[in-house]
Amino acid sequence: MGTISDITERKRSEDQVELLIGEVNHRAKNLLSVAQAVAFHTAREAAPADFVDTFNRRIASLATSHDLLSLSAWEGVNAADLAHSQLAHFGNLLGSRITFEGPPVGLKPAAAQAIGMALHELATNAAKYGALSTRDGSVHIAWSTNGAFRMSWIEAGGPPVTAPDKRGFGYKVMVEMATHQLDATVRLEYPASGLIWELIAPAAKTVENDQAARLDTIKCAC
Amino acid sequence: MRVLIAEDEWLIATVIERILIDAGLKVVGLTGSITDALRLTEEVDIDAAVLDANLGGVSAEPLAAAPSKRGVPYLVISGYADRQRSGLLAAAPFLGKPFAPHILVAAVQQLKA
Repeated sequence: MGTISDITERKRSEDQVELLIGEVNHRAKNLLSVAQAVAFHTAREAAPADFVDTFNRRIASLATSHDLLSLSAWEGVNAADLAHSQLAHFGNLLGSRITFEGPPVGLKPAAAQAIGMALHELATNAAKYGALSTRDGSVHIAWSTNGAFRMSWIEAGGPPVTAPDKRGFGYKVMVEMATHQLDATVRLEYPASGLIWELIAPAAKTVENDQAARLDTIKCAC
Repeated sequence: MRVLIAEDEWLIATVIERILIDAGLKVVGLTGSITDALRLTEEVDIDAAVLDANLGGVSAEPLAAAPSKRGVPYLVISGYADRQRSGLLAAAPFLGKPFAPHILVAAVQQLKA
């Protein structure tokens, strides 16, 4: 009797391991596909001399979000952690010229990946042309959940802003990707005072809040 | 050749779009939702479809029924291993992700052959 139960138990455990290996393989391939897509889009618009640097930064940003996903066991990445980690390279500007405001919110894996990439592009843009390209500009990042998940990035005190004349990878990530993958409404405006980005997405697509959603996530996050 | 793309990862969907356009094909629909894809297969004339096996965490199998019914061939793409597909998705030509552009173009062009 004991032997049969042992065998059943072992079979179940082997099945679980096989399922897990299959899922890990799937996630690895999906991430590779995203990396490939980032390379494809970056190569189409970056000058050849800038390609490696731009591409590496984008991959590092993806990796940062995946560290947080992994730390949270794919059960919700804290919005504050996500925002801080994507801006960590600004060092002591965090908390001074770069400020954060929002409640603890656990973001679903797909939302964390998409919003993480958007924050990276916003940060890169701000450092090159916006409020973080000067000595006194500031960025305020705020989020809330009230039915929907809302996040805003507001720059001030930088050089006078004008809208870019072409839409590149940044626009694809900051606006299109969030719109399509998170059913979000995204506002990207360029008043002279500083860039404004605001994302409003249904909580069901973005916020990890109940057991059912968590189980769903474990089954497939992509 | 008019192609519908159903892929929920936007960066990948736009890569597929670009590759097919560069190969001289016409992309008549680009969506990551099963509902939108089903509507598009009803409303738009398509010659072929590229379907991600898993859209937003849901199997795209219900979606495969629509082009099948109309005799529209489709290519299934997925990060899952080939043997992890079932039903209609298992019967169609398959391309594992990630893939090289020329392999995708050849696989889509073969659908019509």
